[in-house]
Amino acid sequence: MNSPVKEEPVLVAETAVESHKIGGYCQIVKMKDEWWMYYNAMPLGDFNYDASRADGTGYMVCLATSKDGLEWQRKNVSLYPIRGKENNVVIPNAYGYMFDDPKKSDGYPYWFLTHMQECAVWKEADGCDYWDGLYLLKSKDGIHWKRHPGMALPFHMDSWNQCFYDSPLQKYVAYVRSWVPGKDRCVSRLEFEDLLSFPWPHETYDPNRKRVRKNKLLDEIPVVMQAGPDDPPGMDLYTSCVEPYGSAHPVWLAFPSRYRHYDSFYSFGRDSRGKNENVGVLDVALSVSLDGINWRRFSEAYVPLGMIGKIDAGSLYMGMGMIIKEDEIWQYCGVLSDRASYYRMDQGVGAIIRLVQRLDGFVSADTDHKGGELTTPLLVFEGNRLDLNIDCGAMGEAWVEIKNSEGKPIPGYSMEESVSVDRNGIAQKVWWQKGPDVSELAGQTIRLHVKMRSAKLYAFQFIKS
Amino acid sequence: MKRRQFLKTTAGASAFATVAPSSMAVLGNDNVDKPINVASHKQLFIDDRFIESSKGIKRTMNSPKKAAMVMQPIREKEGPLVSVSSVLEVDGEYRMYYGLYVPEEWVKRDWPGKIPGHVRHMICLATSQDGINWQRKRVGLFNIGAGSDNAIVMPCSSGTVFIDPQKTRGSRFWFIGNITENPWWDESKNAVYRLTNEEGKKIGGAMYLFHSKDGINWKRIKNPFLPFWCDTRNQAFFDPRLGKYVVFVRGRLGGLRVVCRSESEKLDNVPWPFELKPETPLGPGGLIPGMNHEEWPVVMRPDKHDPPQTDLYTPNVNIYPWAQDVYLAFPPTYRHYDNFESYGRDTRGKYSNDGPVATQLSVSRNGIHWHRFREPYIPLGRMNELDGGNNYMGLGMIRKGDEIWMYYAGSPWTHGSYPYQPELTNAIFRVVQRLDGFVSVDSGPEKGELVTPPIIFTGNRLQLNIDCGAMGEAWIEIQDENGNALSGYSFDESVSVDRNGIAQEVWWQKGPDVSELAGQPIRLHVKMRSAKLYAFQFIKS
Repeated sequence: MNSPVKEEPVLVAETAVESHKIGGYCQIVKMKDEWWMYYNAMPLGDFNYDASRADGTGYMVCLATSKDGLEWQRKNVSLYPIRGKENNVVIPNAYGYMFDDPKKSDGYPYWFLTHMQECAVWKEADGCDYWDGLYLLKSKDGIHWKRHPGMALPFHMDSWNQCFYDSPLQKYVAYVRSWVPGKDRCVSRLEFEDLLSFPWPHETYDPNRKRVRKNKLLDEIPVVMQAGPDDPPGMDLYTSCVEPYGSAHPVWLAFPSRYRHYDSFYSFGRDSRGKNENVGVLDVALSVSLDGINWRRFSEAYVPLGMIGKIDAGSLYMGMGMIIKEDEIWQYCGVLSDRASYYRMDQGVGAIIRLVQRLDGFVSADTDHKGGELTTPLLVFEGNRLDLNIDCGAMGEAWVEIKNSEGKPIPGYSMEESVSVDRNGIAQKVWWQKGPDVSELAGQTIRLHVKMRSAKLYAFQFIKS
Repeated sequence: MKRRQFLKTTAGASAFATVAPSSMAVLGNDNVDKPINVASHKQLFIDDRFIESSKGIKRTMNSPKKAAMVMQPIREKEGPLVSVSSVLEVDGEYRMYYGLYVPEEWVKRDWPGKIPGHVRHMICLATSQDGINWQRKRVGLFNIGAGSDNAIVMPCSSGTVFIDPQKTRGSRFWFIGNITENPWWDESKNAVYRLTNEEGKKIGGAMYLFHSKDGINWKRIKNPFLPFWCDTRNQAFFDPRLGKYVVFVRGRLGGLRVVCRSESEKLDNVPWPFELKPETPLGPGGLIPGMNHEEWPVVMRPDKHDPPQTDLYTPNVNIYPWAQDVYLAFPPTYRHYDNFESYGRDTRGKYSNDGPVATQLSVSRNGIHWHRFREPYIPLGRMNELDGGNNYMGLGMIRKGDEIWMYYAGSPWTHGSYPYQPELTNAIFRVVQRLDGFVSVDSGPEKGELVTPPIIFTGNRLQLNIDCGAMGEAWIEIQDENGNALSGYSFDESVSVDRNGIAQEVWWQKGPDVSELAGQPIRLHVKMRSAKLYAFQFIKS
């Protein structure tokens, strides 16, 4: 598992709406020729519309835009009087997930899945309660949002639940927060065909079952991610952050925040661990899946905590969405310098930072200087060239052999005839002494046999050149 | 088990196979048989000096973050290539001595009628207040090419600058390297660079010392420091641990580049002694073409763990000043393409003296015995990036709070393909390392542990440079010499360290005070989960 490089903060708390904090959650989406970032912020102080702040509301969904992913400008939409008339709040008092709907349900291209809480400045939330369940908002332009009637799911699922249309599956998929006794926060997954056929499929709520709190989702929707034996005691999965990677046959990546609780810790005066409830540290892990249901989570941090005193020393929440910039992937991450806690009312904390990953770079198959090898299962390909995304550095090399379905090297493509790949590139041509053309093998059942030394292999692809 | 017994039972092999490859063990043999006096010095886990036994612990080399490009050559004045010679902190300002290798045509243009062997190297000076923004110093000493508006401090020379705390000959700045006699600088007069005979065979050479009061105006010690040609980036420093000057120069063994070392109480007593071997070819005036027969002891060399045709390009040794007995070398390793046949895929094997180069990390307790990690310390960039072909770390480190900054020159070309890609240019980059972050002992989600040999400390607090991230924790027990937990300092009484910090205080239920144990032999027993431990230090708070 390869961590990205942490780059500069792209947004820090500056405005009145951000006067308590910025971040936690953020998400980027491509809108015509620019990038939009929906991010959460919270103003300092008490407001008549966020009386339930202690339950997690009081967050504002704000909008910033960028041409290049580096420079972000807050978009002044002046829709709601929150700490002044001029601000970039597009949805008050919510934190949820925006997605575009290729089926344009009800004629709307943009949707937003969130819990809602009544507040004075926004009549769309009238009659809603944070503890009720999840609602859908809809919009034609991504700025003006209104509530779709009814409730998508009648459970309390707190923040940052997500939903999107899975094109290969031709269904909507949602990842939502559930609470399993002994595991605490988990991630549940459901799929369905009609976005607006409420409620979305789930087992009926049984009021007699023991649960963390009334109305919280337990396993009425199948749990697909949860704490396991490799995790430290008192850890749960705060968010899901599932992203498809690639288009035709996506690899599923998830960037869940792992939350290690300080509950009932006693530090004997060393520090503040255990002093308050629901306090702890969060980092971002990486989980991978081929179907979105069965996941493998790496134990190292994908985005590790920064040093105490730095902006990213306490809690980290992955932003959703990726910008592919040539041979890099940019992602964003909401960071806080302190331990997660909603008791804190510090001024102007938090930031949204940019992360840079190599294209396909999340996970690699590596060998050290002693060398290693791998053989694929049977494959059938289209195309006439084989490309590797591989980093052999200065010391490494890789050799590729193509074998037939019986496991015999195919003449012309044997290890002995292989011309090594070296150095570092995202699309390095594989050659044999006769050249790089593999078109004669297209459509046949083959295996790739890779030998390498001091190398990191990220991906392979047959292409038509 | 006593340390002595322990070493006996492991028969001199690596004491801790779970920790590191067999070449790891303790680098250098000082302090083996007595409690190690760590006093209040920072101690790093670069080798097994502080690990007598361990379980579930892995030693890891940690690459720095590539931060940003800081400089590119001014093409029309400096040519396509810059390199980092030395970075120094001088009176609150940072200095970077950087090198040029100007195009051959410029030599012909600027010095018509005479093309001596090797005049293309230049040493220049840039300065910075913050280590990020660098300005060339308009030295204006030498009227070369386009005029004297340039940063050149030593024309036609290559080598490294160092500061002499003993101010030999009254000079604070010293330079070790080579120089070609040239018309621009009187100090170059009668200097020998490399001698060749009529057939072009190399038959002798020399390297010199230069000194300066200001680091800008330099004087040469006329006689060679060594009657050998040792090529670029040789280096020297005063080693306060030895109270001696130490010099590392480039040599060859079996055709492959190696690093040779010598030490002396006096810097300017030239030439420094060396041992002439029967095979050493003596040229005119006793000059020798290269240190190719171990005329000085070889301390770094390629071995069976390196790919074929790999050599160590330059020594690049730093004394790490923020911990005790830590020497860090950043040798660029060079894998040659000689005789490679790519069957039309690429240019490997086409050019002479060609191949990719990338910087590795080598660690030592004494500058003599080294352990080199085989992963790249500075990995090559992708082939379409400015540092996709070569990187060479520069000498010197800057400490910025809890970070160490270093600089490297990265180039898109491989070593010998450079002349064939005249359109390309290279750059100098800054890299950021955590303080003490070069090597750590790591444990995964299953707990790991280690026990130190007996140590003696001064101070009243124990601090760790440790990264437990969000998931990890570490617990410390202090034991007596025989491995029994001391009351008040046992694991059961330990308050865990968590998160990530360079000086995290270790606590027990009774508090952090360890002063009552100062001066007596103790052992530290560390248990940790999902953590990277970089250093420990007893301090007086």
